[in-house]
Amino acid sequence: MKTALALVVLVIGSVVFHLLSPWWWTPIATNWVFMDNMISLTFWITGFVYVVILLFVAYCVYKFRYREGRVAAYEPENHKLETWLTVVTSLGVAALLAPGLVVWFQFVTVPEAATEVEVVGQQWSWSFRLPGADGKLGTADNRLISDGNTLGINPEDPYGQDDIVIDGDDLHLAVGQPVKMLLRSVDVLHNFYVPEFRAKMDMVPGMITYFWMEPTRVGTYDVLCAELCGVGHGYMSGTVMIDTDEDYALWLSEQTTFVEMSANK
Amino acid sequence: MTVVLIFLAVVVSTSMWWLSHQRLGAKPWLESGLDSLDQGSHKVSLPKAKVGLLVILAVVGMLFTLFFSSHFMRQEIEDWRQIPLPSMIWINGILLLGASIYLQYALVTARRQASQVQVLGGETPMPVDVRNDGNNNDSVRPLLINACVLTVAFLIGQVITWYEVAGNGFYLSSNPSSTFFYVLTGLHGLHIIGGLAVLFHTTVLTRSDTQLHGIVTRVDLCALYWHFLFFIWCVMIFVMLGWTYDPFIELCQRVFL
Amino acid sequence: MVEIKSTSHPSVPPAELEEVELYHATNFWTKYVFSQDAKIIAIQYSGVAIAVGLVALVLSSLIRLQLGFPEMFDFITPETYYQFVTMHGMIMVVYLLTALFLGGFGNYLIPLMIGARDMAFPYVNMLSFWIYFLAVLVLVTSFFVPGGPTGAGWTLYPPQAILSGTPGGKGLGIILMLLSLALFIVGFTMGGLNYVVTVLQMRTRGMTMMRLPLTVWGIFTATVLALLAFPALLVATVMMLFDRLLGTSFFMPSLVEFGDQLSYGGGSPILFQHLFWFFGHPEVYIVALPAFGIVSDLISTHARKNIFGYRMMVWAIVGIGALSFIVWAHHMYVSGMHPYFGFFFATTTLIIAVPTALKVYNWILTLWNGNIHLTTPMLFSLGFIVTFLNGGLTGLFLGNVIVDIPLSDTMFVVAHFHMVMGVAPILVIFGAIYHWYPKVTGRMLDERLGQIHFWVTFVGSYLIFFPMHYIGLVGVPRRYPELGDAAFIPDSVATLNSFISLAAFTVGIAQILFLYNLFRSLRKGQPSGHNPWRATTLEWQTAQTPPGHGNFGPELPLVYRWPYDYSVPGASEDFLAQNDPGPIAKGGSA
Repeated sequence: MKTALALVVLVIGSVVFHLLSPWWWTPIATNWVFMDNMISLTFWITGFVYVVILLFVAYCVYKFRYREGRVAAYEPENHKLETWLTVVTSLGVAALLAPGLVVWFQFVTVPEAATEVEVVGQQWSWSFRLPGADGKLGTADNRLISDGNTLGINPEDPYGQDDIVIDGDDLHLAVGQPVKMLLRSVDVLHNFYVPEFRAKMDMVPGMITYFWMEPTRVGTYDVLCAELCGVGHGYMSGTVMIDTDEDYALWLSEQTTFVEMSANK
Repeated sequence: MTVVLIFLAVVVSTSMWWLSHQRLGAKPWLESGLDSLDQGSHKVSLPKAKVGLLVILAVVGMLFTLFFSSHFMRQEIEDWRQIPLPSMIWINGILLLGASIYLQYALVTARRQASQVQVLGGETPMPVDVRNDGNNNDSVRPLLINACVLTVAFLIGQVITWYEVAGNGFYLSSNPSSTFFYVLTGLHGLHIIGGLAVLFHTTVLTRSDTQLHGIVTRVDLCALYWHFLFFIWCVMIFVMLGWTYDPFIELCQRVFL
Repeated sequence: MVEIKSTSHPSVPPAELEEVELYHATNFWTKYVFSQDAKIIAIQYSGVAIAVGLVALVLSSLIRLQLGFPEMFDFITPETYYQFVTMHGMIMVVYLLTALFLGGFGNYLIPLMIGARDMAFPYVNMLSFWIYFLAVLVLVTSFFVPGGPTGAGWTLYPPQAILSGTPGGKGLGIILMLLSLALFIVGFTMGGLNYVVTVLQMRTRGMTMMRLPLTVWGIFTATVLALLAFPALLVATVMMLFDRLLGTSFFMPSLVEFGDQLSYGGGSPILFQHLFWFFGHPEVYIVALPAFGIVSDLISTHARKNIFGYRMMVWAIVGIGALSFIVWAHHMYVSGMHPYFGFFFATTTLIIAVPTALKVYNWILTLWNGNIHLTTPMLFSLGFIVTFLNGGLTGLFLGNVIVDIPLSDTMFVVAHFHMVMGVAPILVIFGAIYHWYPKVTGRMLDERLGQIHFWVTFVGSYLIFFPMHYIGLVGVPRRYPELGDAAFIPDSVATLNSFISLAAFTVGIAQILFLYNLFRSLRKGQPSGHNPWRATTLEWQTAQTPPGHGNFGPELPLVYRWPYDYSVPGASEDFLAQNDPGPIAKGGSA
């Protein structure tokens, strides 16, 4: 009796906690509302299953508890029941997987209109690079990194000359403009993570990884590193600001290009 | 990783095949009583030492397959430069093959010897102190010794190839191809050395009058191990020469794209 | 060759047909130290695993001390924090759970449950323990070397694991960890060889595969997985040692470390992740499958009811085992691997949820219409169902690739894997110890203390990890020594963290009760007799308790039935032992 009751209290307590919890996701700032919707859908389905199964367990513990003279049933198998349960479970799982994969396809398919922005991570700070007036990022390589060229931009690539370099400062993005974030690392694995953006991806030295998104809400957001990168991992913070088009244009005009930066060194 | 999955598929399908003979569809609650005694526990009809060795070979195979898979993955990066392998490796291959052949011959001889003894002895095997001339293991021993010698020669030959490759300027960390060369051949050599310890022990045993039955099992296991390691060596050389790469990658591309 | 005539059934061929050369130890050293008796080896494995597990428990308290009450303790710096986190994780997963389930429970229960006198290769079995012990020593040594143990995270991802920004990266810490793992793998291959060959070749007469208790199926399948998965970790370990010590570039690309261009080049950090998780995912099933098997037997025995759907349970164990090899990259959704892999691995991961769910249904359907004795083992089994269900369901979030993107590397993941792999299997371990302690020692553990231990541990663990999911949902990353002042984190998260830490300390301290019970009951526990739980499986039918050398006395048991003949209609008792020729069971519904 007590045990069954404890189980019921646990289940109800968990549901109540979920419903009353002030700890929920931060308000989203990009187009990836689908991710939030998928999380909600999964909560509904798994929550339902959780409650039903645990209440059933509590019921069994109460109803079929040991009493003098009680004899358990002898039921090795019930083919029909097991088949039915298999089918229902498979349907439930498919109901989660199908929409999930559809949205995943959208996630990995970058729209044509997306501009490119490069994020470069290193122990333990963030740098950024924008393509500049020609709209293309120049090539870069860790082997080219030097004091005057902290991002390893290829000085012989014409596309790289007008790239805008933001070294250890805030990144700005324009609201409503889809952007493909190209991610690079100078030393170890990092992960460019802004909770409000929802999308994130590891940065791997020797590779260029990516994700894309469309910022939908103006504001200032924290950048955190989400892949263990040494003792400074928890302190590798940055800032990203989503601006209106006017503010963004203003900010852009104040930035230095690679060629200007190299000249100043 | 596809290569690993293929190896795994082989192991898994063998296991599934064996399992399917265990009547996993049976309803054991309906089959109580003695009659099921003869339907048997369906043990694998091999001595348990051999089953043990087969398990070990699955593990060793997995280990090498994973290295080969990593080799393939690394080969795809554009800075890959295949190192040339000295022709000594072919001689080494023949030495190892020779050792395998001698071991197989030793196994056949030992089995024939054991069955002869049985025939002579009647229903129960004869104790081995009843001899005609000398030790019953006499015909097996020289074959085992030859196998040992050829294997040791193989190992020496492998070390010589190391010197030759280093002499061409390719050291352990020179480039990925040379790294894989040293690591793979070194790992293979370590496994050979492990096997040699058992083979030495077995050869020494033939000097005493150990039960023939015991010798047959030991030689059986050594032979199997040697054949397997020879097979691994062949695959390894093909992988390192890049022979398996192109047709295999083409196959993958055709299948997956 | 030993031939023993069965005296009870002169017409039946004897149980023991194989060559039985049971090793007889003669002195203290060969009897208790370098023992070849699987039962002694089991106790040795269990003792070392629990001891090192207690170290990991202390480390977890230190972690919670920092997370709950940051900046209060000067000795917890980011360096030491990462060392705690790394060693806690590695010890718990590998040196405690794997060693205890396979080396501890496997060694003790397999020969007894299948009706064998010992393992197939007792000498190799003995060696496997001592190599495990050596691996543990090497690991513990890393606490005492300059620079301390590695702080690279239990996943040891390169390049950071062998660089100077990580504790132990350029020192001995990472080297000792890798060496220890390599030793562990060698030792476990030797042990695993035994468990597999013994189950295949040394079952007593009448013990078909489909009459094996699910405990054996679970441990057997887990061992097969271990044999095939650990090589991947060995390959990764060897490659990382080479990169660290000999300047090779298996995993190391061109990189600049704090302004210095290093001489590495061309390597792939993602290759490490593929190798590690090819091992790592089967590893979680190596821990889970024995737990599944054991809990099936605990529920069945303590509810006096056959396990529901035995065939399905066997197929599910085998199916989960096989599938576990093709889901590994769900740990790598944000790794930067080719995006199309996400489709494949999300699909296989969600497929594996189906047989797992079926097992949960079958445990519950075993309770239905049962005769449930709420003994301590049964309570722990119920606790397992709750926590495993919870952890398994949150796995559906993370397995679905698009949902994993926002949640990966947050506390949601930490909460998930602790619930499903920490709490649930540990509850089974406790239940199993309460269940089999009488067989090992001849005495019962104190039931009252057991119940208190259960409630504090179960409720406490739930209070630790259930709320933690929501911290992850807020977006708080994992492997952060402190929350910092990021704007999106409300202050209440810090309060919740403190609460979780207090729950953690309570659960940690409660384990003292358990240890006290273990040691006290050795002398003061109620004598148990041979079969206090009135169970059907062979280990309870031994002539002596604890079982003597050779397990079953002069005659091996003959097996007549499956292990779940509880409450058989028409039988005089509510259980029929497997070696009981008794009234033949009437078949149940099909």
